[in-house]
Amino acid sequence: MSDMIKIFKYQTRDVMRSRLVIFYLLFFSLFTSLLFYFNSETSGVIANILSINVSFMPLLTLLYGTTFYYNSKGYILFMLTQPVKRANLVTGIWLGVALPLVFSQLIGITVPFLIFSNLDVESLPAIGALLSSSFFITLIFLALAFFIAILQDDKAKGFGLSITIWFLLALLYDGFILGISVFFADYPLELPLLIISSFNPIDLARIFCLIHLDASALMGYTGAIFQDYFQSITGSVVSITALTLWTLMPLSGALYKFKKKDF
Amino acid sequence: MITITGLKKTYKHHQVLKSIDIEIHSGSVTAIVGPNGSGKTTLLKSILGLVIPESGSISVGGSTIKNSDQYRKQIGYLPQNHGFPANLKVKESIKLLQDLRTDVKDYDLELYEAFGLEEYKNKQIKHLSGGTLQKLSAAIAFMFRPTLLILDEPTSSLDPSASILLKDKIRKVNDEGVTVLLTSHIMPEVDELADEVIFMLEGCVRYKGSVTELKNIQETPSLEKAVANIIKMEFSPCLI
Repeated sequence: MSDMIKIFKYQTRDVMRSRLVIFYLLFFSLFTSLLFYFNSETSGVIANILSINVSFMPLLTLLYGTTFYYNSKGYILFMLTQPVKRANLVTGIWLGVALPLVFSQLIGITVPFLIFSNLDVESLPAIGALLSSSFFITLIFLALAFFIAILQDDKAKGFGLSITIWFLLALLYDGFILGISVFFADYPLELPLLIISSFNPIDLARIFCLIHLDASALMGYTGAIFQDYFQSITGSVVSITALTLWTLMPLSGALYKFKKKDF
Repeated sequence: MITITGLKKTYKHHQVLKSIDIEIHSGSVTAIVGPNGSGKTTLLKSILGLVIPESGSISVGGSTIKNSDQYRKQIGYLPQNHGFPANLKVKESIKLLQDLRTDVKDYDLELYEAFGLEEYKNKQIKHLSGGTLQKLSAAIAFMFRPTLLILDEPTSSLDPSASILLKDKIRKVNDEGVTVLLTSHIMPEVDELADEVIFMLEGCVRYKGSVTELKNIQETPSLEKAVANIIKMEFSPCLI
């Protein structure tokens, strides 16, 4: 078994016992159950959970990820004195933190769906897309958090950078796209806007979920465009590829910096 | 055991290590001493591979450490601050390291047992006191039968009886041929354990030799006074 998997295994145990994992599980179970109580439409419940996933989850994951890294500096330093490759250490820890968070979200969302919704075959792709977007949001923003914390030793600056990135991606970006679409309304904008939106993982996760749901117009301008432009299969492939790239890019950045870092 | 040649390290325009050349012989107990900011920690971290030097070379046990992590199999490291995930149990923290160190099958559990850590094995790390964490770190440093022990302030946060147990263990493994490299601000402890001293000041090695010789040069029976005297001395700038 490689060192990375061993580190991942024990990191998972550690994070599974953390308060955030329990909070995620309870929050998503309760929130999803309440949504079903007030709204019997599966698509409406999915859209509401998605809005949480693309607004607050990135911030929470960024802050948790940076806090986790800063608080684990002693552990990381000690592990670096063991015969372990730096890349294996970071990847093992990152996966060990990410997967319990993903797992608790998925359980928290899936169980109320199984209990309260009238699951039919038609709604399964949308539920799958919702769970996949949760998965990617956690992986991407945790990788970003690790990248920030490795880059920036100063805790306060690291948190500041995390909040700034969240503000740019979650709030300003859609406004920026809307501005472009209004300003250049006379031009064919579908392709440029699709390209621009792929630079934002939050938009991508939203689009990925919305192309499986007939509620795209509710969830921002880029979502509506994507659904018009791509049909489900093509859109899914493009979105998943872009989301995977978005996961790998900050992770590669984190690994690159970590390999060259002094501790 | 350890050969360091022309080692230099600069942090943000501040040269912390200025061309260090040292040889630490197998089976010795060497203490690195010096005031805060003298470069002791950076030197230790360079040997451990935590700090990447800008120039120079370090070899441990005959093999150069550059771009290698396997040489650390020879090292048992006792950090000043513990490094275990807070929610893991004691036995899980040990198991993690044992899983990583498949090269060792016959663990040295003498210190683990002497410290009575068995009774804490099912406790989570976050529920342990600072002293118990230090005992755990110390027990782990010896567990994989290293040939080189690097101890950073080994007795800090240990009670007197645990401190005696640890020092006895250091002497015992040293008698068996293990090389020990330690840092400490407690000079009587250095006097008690070390046979060689490396005195560092402003990134340079200002003295390297036996403890007895240093005391003789400074004409004092106290190592603490001998070190204090060197700090007050004026030195010519060291080789940069």
